[in-house]
Amino acid sequence: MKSKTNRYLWNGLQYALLSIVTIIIVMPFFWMLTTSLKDRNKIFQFPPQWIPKPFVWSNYKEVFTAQPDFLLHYWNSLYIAVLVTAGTCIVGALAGFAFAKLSFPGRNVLFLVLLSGMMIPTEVTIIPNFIWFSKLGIIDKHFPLIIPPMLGAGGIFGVFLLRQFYITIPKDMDEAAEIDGCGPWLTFWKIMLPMTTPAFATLAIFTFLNSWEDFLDPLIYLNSSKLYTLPISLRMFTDMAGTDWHLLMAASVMATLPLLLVFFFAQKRFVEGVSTTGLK
Amino acid sequence: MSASYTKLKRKKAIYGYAFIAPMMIGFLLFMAGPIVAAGWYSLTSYSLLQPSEFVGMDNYAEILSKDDSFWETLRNTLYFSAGLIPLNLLLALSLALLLSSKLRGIGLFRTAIFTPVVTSIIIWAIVWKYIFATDAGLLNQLLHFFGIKGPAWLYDKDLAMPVVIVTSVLKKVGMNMVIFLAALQDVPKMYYEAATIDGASKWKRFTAITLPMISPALFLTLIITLIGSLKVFSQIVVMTDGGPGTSTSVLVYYIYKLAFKNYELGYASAVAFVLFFLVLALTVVQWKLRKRWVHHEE
Amino acid sequence: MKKGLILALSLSMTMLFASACSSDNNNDGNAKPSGSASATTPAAEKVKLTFAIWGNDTHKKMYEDMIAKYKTIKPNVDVEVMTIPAGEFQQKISVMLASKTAPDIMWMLERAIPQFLDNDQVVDISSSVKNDAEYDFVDFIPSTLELVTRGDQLYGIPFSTPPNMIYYNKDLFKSKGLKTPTELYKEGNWTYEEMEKAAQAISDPASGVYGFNMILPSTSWTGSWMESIISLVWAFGADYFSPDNKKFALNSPEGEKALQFFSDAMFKKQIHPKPGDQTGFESGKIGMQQNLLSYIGKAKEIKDFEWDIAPMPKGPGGSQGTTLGYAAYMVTKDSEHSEEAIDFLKYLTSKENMAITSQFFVPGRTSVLGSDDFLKQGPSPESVKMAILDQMADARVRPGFNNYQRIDDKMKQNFDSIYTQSGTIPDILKKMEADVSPILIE
Repeated sequence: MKSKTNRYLWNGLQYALLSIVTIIIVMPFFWMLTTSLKDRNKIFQFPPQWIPKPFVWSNYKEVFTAQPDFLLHYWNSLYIAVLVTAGTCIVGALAGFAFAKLSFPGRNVLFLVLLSGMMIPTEVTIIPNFIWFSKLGIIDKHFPLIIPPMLGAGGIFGVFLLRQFYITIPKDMDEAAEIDGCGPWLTFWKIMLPMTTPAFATLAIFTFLNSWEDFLDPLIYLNSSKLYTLPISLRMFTDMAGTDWHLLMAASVMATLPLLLVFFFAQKRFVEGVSTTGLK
Repeated sequence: MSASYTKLKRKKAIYGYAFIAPMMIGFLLFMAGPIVAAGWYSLTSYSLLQPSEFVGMDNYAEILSKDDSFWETLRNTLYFSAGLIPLNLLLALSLALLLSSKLRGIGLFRTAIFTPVVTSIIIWAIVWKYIFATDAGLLNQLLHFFGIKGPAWLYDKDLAMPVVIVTSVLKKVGMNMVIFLAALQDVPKMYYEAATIDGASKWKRFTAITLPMISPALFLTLIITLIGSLKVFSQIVVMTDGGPGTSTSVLVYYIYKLAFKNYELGYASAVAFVLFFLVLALTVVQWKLRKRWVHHEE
Repeated sequence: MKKGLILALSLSMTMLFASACSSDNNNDGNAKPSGSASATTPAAEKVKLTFAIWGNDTHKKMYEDMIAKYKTIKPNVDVEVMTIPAGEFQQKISVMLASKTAPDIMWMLERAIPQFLDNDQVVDISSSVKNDAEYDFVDFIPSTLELVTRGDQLYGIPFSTPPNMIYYNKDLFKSKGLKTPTELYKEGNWTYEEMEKAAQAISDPASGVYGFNMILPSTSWTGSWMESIISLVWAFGADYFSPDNKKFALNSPEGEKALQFFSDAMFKKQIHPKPGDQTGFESGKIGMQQNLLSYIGKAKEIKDFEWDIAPMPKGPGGSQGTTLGYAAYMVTKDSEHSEEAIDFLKYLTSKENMAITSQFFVPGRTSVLGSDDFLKQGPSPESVKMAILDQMADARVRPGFNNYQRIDDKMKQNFDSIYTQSGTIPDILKKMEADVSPILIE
């Protein structure tokens, strides 16, 4: 009897704690939502208006008139992020596998060299990169937003993560493959790669979000507004006269909601997937 | 036998180089190159608007001896990291523990906590800036409701940094929570069952089974969070602009300001390199420690 | 699984190369001259200019309409408008200049002008504009040209020279039975003292109502406060720096008074929003707001209360301290088509086109300022005349330096001490002087 009430109490406490923390964490998104539907003059009211009165749905339409290219920017961000994610996973898997399972002279040194590359902030490498990219004529294109991140800091992180993962795969696996006559490529392709899904899931989230949120690279490398990505688009809601908060929030909700929905539907599979990420 | 063995070894080595080739080439082109260039800038007084002038080690000398901002910035950055890492990891672990039980509606909770991760950091920071505003901010209004007069969160030299830390923790905690969730689910139930049979307390089960089994995840999140914390930037720009005074001026912010606002790219590069060497040292240390602390690696 | 992976791989590789190598914009440098470039002017080379602004899409549309008309005059010249986020404009332009990919013609803010002039990054246009009778160069108010002039050389033409002014909430004034700033100004009695009195009557901190707000929304609390407070400082008879910009001058009795006034308004008298407060004028909770003409578009959307504009109040120092905001068109030195760019600049600053831009920007041309169209931009022609036209002559341009950012930085750091109330004004000023003086004499 006592243990049953205890269990109920314990459950109740868990729910309560969770709820408090969750409310704190979710509240900003809730504020974003309500602000996106508020009348522009009523946003920073004191006391704050939690439920918009009236509901200004037209804010969402106005985003597209204020920035006719908004949808294009959205698409740009999306396809760039997808490409970077796919590329990083592939390059990272190859290199990660090699650093974990194959031995070659200088392996550890090379890995440490790569790792050290993660330490230099982009703010410092972006200008030299920009200068020589512009000499090559590849600025104001999406190339600098796709390939360098894939093979730069983001890529290095991918190598690190995947190497970590492959290291924890028991040696017996590759020994078995070797006995079966598989060379390194087949071992990688047929045995390791199919197992990598969990690690890919983690890496994909990190890489996708990184690319999605990146502001400095598009700012510096892009000139034509048709090539802009979402972060720049959002920034354009702030001009010399201040910020159009209602539009900024509406645009942000549009940028965030889809990702959230994807996570919600995928999270069950994902959590089970991320497990055995050699983070085991 | 030995001939074919060396042949096999060489084959493996060749594959090894081939597999890392894309990454290494990319590294050479997009990282090594610019890093070397930045290294060169650090020895000049390059200002973007004027051709550069060689000054040798002057920049470094100034950083190490005369630049108070640099040391303060370094202190602030370490303060930030020291505050963020334990808070983030502890919270993430606690949340993961709470959310790994089979309560109803768990998916909703997980998604809710993951919301900040998918929100743009800039928007996140903007909203929290409003929450922490003096008087009219949401937090102070809440406190006012309870009769407490909230302080000027972002305009108090001692409170600004903790506020930024809390904001940053809440943003990233969801991701670490997910990683821990996965790691927790992976711990074979039979260990717990065996331990319970042996009469181990909840706490003992946690420290003897859970922690060691998820130590790789702990290590991973530690590194990710650490590197991320050393590179903190956007929320500083949005919430405090390095202020009040210089209490939240951190390294990347300082570098950005030097390079892009003060037009002192040479000096900025030097600062970046000092940061680089520091982090390199840290990494090497962590690398060595990893062998001792982490379970389950070759 | 395997087939899917191969498919995904090849798909992504193709997409990769396609995206990387494609250029869905025609911005790959200027086209080479070709014999059959244009039917009307067979010998003219096809020229492409880039024009960078920090405006939004509305501004862009306005310029694109002008460009369309320009095409009928100069068919061989194509102009592409580049919009850069306002907050990062400076940074982006500098990076582009460093790599020689800068636009041909651009907007420039007064703060950066001295730096760009000192570094020889812009073109002297004096010969083109001064000798063109139709252009009517003398139409420009002389004070608006000071910043872009060095000796005989002229480096740009201002397109926006707004004096700062006060937007005030008529309803709040009426409800307390107060005389409005406009009425006080007509009486010759519009002073900081009167403003303070009115503010005290209007303020109600418990419900978030504040009498006045000096902080410009465009820079807000974390941006440059120097811009927000400079009018106040000048009105009190003080200044940040000496006229030659070599010495720190704020640490004076007048400077102290000015800063004390500001600090007390926030913390003692509670008639000014506290630092970080985002309450905007449009919420109806601010009695008087300092702002520029650029805000008028937003102000016109206010439906809940009546508002008007008034000049800045007079201070104990005897003047209003009105500042003249400043932005100019400039042509970059590295432009490959400076001649065409200068011609386009002249087109943009013609009487006709400045009348068009005057819906957003206060023009420097006397003829346009006095026009009926411009007077219609505000709540009433009378208030526009009073708050803008009449103030142009005495307004001073905000100072700009080569080292602006570093000075701004140090001053901001010390000024933050006022916000955090961690020192007395005299002490803060002393520290500010100690920090800033070395930079000034560099």
